[in-house]
Amino acid sequence: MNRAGILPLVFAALLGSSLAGAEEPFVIIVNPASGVTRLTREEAVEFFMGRQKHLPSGLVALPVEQVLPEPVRRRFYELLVHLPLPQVRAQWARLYFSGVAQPPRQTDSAEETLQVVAANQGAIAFVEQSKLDPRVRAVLTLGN
Amino acid sequence: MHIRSAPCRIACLLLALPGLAQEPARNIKFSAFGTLGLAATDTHLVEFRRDSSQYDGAIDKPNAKVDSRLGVQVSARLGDTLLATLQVVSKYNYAGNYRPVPTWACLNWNPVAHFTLAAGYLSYELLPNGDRADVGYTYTFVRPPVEVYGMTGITRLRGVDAAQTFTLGSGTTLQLMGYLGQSVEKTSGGASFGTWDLSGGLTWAASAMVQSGSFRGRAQSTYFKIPNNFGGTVPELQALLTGLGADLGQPGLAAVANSLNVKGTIGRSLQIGGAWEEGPYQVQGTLWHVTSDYVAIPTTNSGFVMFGYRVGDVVPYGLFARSVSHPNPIPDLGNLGSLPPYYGPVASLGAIAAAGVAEGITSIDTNQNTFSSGLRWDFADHADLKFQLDLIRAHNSTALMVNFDPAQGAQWNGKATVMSVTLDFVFGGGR
Repeated sequence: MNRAGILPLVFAALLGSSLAGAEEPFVIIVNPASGVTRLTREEAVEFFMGRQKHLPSGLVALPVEQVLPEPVRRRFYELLVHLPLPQVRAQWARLYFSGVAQPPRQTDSAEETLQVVAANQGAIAFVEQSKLDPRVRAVLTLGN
Repeated sequence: MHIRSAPCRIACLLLALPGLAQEPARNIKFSAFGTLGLAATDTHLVEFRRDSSQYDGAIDKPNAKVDSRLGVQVSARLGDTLLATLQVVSKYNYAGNYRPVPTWACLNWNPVAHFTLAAGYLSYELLPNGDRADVGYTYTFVRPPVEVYGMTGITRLRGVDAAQTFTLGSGTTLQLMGYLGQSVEKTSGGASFGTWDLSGGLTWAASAMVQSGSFRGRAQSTYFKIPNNFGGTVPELQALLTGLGADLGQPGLAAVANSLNVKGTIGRSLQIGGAWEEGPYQVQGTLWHVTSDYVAIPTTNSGFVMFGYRVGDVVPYGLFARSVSHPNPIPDLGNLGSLPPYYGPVASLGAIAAAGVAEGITSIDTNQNTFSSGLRWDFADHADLKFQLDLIRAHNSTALMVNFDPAQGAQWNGKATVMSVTLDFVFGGGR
């Protein structure tokens, strides 16, 4: 193989490893019929921290959260709430043991998250950007 | 409503839920929380209590009763608008045992956007950032500062609360809330006051809470009508004053005896606090102002400020709390405390009665401050270990440290160090 043939392969390998190491953005998603087209970060915090029970369109909100590896979850909450994960857990314990809120409904995969959001008008969830598909609407991107 | 009946009714309701709920397996949650704690001081002359709901406290040997507690909770979502919660907590109490009590047994109804109504057994929100005093995992320090929360007394009620939330801007909300109900508390007043039954007292409160990003500010005004008189030695003192008044022809002493009836008097409090959590920083503080119509409950101002900084899973923190009481003047007893010797035994009884009144008027003073420093370590997803050192300095007199032997308590120099270690955990309630 000549030099001209090797260089593109090396470049592609470096680019590939660089992409693999990059942290993928998250997108906040809602049902396309929710009446919500856009959220600010501050508004999204309200739903994932149990402070807001209705979407801006008036629908009852159904927050959904996929069970994720801790580093991924930690990164999401640092991007969204600007708080370390133990602080997020403590804040949820306050809400839950006050009888005012239940934590988001949990899903086991991105596909299940998308299904739940597609099937519930009030659902609000987050997925990694590459998982986005037309069944749901992205209203906020975090970490891009 | 009997104290045991509401939890039973809620439990029955929860058992009936599967037929009502759309997705029963997901809608019912069982959870628990607890704290295993050890606390010890460097003195045996006075005892350190977490608050007035505890019969006695820690001395210079480690004991678990000050901070240990265990709670269980069942909650169920009934459709989109109704949440049922039953929470029972076992902790060391006014009677010196761990009898479980309901801290929440309520239905929380959210009929329209931004409005909620709750009814049943409810607990006040005490700390400025919404932490639950019984759930140690929710706050950074070992226990709510005793200078502010040690004499609170009323933390639970049987009644209703209503809350309306207004959106003021992106991520900024104002919540207005009102409580109305009867208290369900008993406190321990030591040898002088005995068990003080505060249950059945009408209580009402209004609060305003602003949440904006990482900041949370809250103000609450509370009124409480005291439902029962003191026990302990107070009735004996009243009888003695009335008898001496009749014997000595001093009707003013009977009036003083009547003024020691606390039943029907009003207690008021105003609290203003705030909390800010952003990245590794944690700051919170509050100010409380307490007044009462009752002669032996002094006007008291208290407050605390706390700062913490998270480094990975560890949060070192520092806290300062202070309480200052302004006791009411001791009623005019004439020459009761210094009757001439020819009164014989009556002179002795007069001196005892005068000393009893003076002690009663000043014994609820809380002149004290504490510097605390500590470390919280989140060593697991839903558990933490805390270490805390409290340097207590009391001035004049303080009801926050108790001793059932007044002679021994009188030897105390007003200084104490409290060392504490706690393990907090929650199951099923966090994320």
